Amino acid sequence: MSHVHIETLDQSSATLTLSLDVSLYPRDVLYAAAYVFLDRAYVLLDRQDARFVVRFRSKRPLDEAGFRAFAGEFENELLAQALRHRVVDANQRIIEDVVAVAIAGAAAGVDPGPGSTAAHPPFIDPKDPDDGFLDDPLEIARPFEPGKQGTE
Amino acid sequence: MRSGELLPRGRQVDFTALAPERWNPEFATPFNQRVIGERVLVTNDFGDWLLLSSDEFRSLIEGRPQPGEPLYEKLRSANFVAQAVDVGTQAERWRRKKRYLFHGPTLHGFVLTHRCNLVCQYCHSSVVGMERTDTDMSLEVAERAVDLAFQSSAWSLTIEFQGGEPTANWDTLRHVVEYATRKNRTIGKVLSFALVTNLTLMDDERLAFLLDHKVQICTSLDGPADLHNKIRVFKSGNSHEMLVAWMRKINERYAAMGLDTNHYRVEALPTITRPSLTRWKDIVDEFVSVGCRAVFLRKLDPFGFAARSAKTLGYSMDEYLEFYANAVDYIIELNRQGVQVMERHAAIMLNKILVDEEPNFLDLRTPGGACVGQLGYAPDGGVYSSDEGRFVASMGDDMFRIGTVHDGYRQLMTSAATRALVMAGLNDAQPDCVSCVYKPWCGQQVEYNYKAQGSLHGHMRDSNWCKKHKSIFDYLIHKLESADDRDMEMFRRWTTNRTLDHFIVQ
Repeated sequence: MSHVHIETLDQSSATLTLSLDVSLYPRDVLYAAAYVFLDRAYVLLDRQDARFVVRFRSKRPLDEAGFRAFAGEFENELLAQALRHRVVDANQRIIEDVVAVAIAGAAAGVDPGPGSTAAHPPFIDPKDPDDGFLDDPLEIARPFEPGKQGTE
Repeated sequence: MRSGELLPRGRQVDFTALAPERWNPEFATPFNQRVIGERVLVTNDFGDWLLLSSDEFRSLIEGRPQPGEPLYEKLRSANFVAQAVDVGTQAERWRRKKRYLFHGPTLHGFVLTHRCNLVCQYCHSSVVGMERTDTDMSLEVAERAVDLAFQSSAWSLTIEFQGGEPTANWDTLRHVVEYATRKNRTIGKVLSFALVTNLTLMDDERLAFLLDHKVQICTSLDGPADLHNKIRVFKSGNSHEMLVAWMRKINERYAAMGLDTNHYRVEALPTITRPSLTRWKDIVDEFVSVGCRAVFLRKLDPFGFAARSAKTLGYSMDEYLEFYANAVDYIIELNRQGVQVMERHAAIMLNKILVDEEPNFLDLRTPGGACVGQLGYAPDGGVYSSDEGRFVASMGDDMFRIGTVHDGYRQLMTSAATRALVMAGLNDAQPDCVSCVYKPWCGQQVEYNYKAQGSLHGHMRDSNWCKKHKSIFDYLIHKLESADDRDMEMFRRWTTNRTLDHFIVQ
C-alpha cells in the first residue's frame, strides 16, 4: 500500500502535490529524496498538520501517466533514503573509527615517500590552533548563491 | 555504432517491492546501491563493491546471511558485514588510498607566457599575439615560484610548463629547469618536469635540452589532419604535419636512448569539439597511427574561449556520452584485435574499481585537487588553485587567486580561500554524492561547479560534471558485468601503472 497520497495533479500548470504522514520518515530522508528530483522539477516542501506536503512543478511537460510515475519514483526514493539513513545510523561508527585510526597513524609524521630524502613537518599541526580546517570564514558552506547563476 | 542511443544507464533499486519491516540495518556497513543490468551494484566507503542478484540484495538488507553460507562469506570478504570489519586493516587501507591528504601539492603548473602562435578556436587561456612579450613570466617570478613549490610538504614535485605556448618563453623555461634541478640537489625531492607544447616552435637544440634534462613532452592532437587543422589554426603552416613529424622524431630519440618505447612516448591529448563527435573512429585511429597508447577523451569544458565558442564547437552531455561510448567500444574492439590502446578516463576509474588504487587524479578525488593537490603560477606571480582557477581568472574573475609567489607557503595553504575550496570539494559535503554508489571512486572540481553552476558546491543532481562521471562509471560497470576473461585481462592491463623513472630528476 502506498504511503504517499496524490493530493493534486494539474497537467496545465505541470504541478503535482503529494502528502505523507510526518511519522513515516525522518525529515532528513524527505530532504534527501526531494533533492533527487531537482533536475526534473522545482520542489517546495511544506507541512500541514500531521502531513508533509511536497509540491513539484515539472520542468518539462508530463502527461498523467508521467506524473503518476513521478509520484511512484518519489515514494521509491523515500524508501531508498530511509534504508540508507537507518544503516548509517546503525553502523556509521565503523567508518569513523577507520578514519580516526588512519589519521592518528599519519599524524606522527609525513611519509617522505620512495626515493625521497626530503623531510618535512606534518602539513597539519594538530597543536596549532590556526590549523582549524573546519573553520568557514567565507561562509562557503552556505548553499547556492542566487546572484551567481551559472551557465548550466 | 550507437545512433541516438544513450549509454546503458544504471537506475534506482525498486524498494517498493522490498518490505521495510524486514530490514535489518544492524547487519551491514553503510553502503549505496544502483541497478546495473540485471544486478544490483553495492559499494561501501572502503571502496569495496559487489554485483548482487536481486535475491542476494534482499538478503543483505534483511540481514539474513549466516556465517558459513557463501553469500555471507562474499559479503564479509568485501567488508559489507558490520560485525566482521577489521578496523585496523581498513584504516591502513584508507591511509594508503588517501595518502594525498598527508602532504601538500605535488603538481605545480607554470604559465610561462600568454603568448601563442596558434589560434585554437576553443583555447582555455587568455592567449595573446607573439609580440606581447610583456605577458611572459620573468626569471625573478619564476625563481620565486620554484622556491614556493619546493616548500610544499609533498615528497614528489612535478613542474609542468603551460601557456600560451610555453616554449615561446624559452629562456625562462630553461632557467626553471636548471634552477630547480640545482635546488633539488640539496633538498632531495622526487622531481620531474613536464612540458605541454604544440611543438611548432621546437628545434633540434631545444629538443636536445629537453631530452638531456628529462623533461617529459606532452602535446595536443585533435585527430586527423583535416580535423586538427580546422580547430588548431596555424597561420604559418600546417600544424598537424609539424606536430606529427616532431612526435615521430621524439619517439625515435627515446628509442635511440635505449628507453622502452612501449612506455616512453610523446603523450598527446585531444580536445573534443562538435566536429569531432562523428569522428570517434578517425580520432582513435590517428592516435594509434602516431604511436600513442592512450587517448584521453575529454569533454570541452566551460572555461575560456571554449565558453565563448560554445555555440559552434559545443555540444550536449548526451552527445558527448554517445561519442564516448562509440569511441571506447571501438577501442575495446581494437584491443580484441591485438592493438594496445586505452582510454584514460576508463583507466583511471578501473584503477579505483579493479585494483583498489587511488591514482590521485586531481579531478576525481575527494577533496578535489584545488590548492592541496596542485597550484598554478601565472606570469605576473599570481598563485591559483589550479589550471582551471587560472582559466576562470582569464575570464576576468579572480575568485581562485589565493595569493602570489611572494607569499609564504604556509600562509597560502592555510588561507581562508584554500580552506573554503577544500571544504567545498568534499564528496561527504554534497547532498547527492553521499548517497551515490560511485562515491568511493568519484570526486569533484570546485572551479567547474563555480563556473557552470554559480557556486563552489554546485548541485550535483543537474550538474554535467556529475552526469559525465556517473554515466562513464555506469558504462564501465556494465562492461565489467558482461566481460569475459579476455576482456577482463584487457581492463586489468589498462590499470597497470608503470612509473616513468627516466623522467625523475635526481
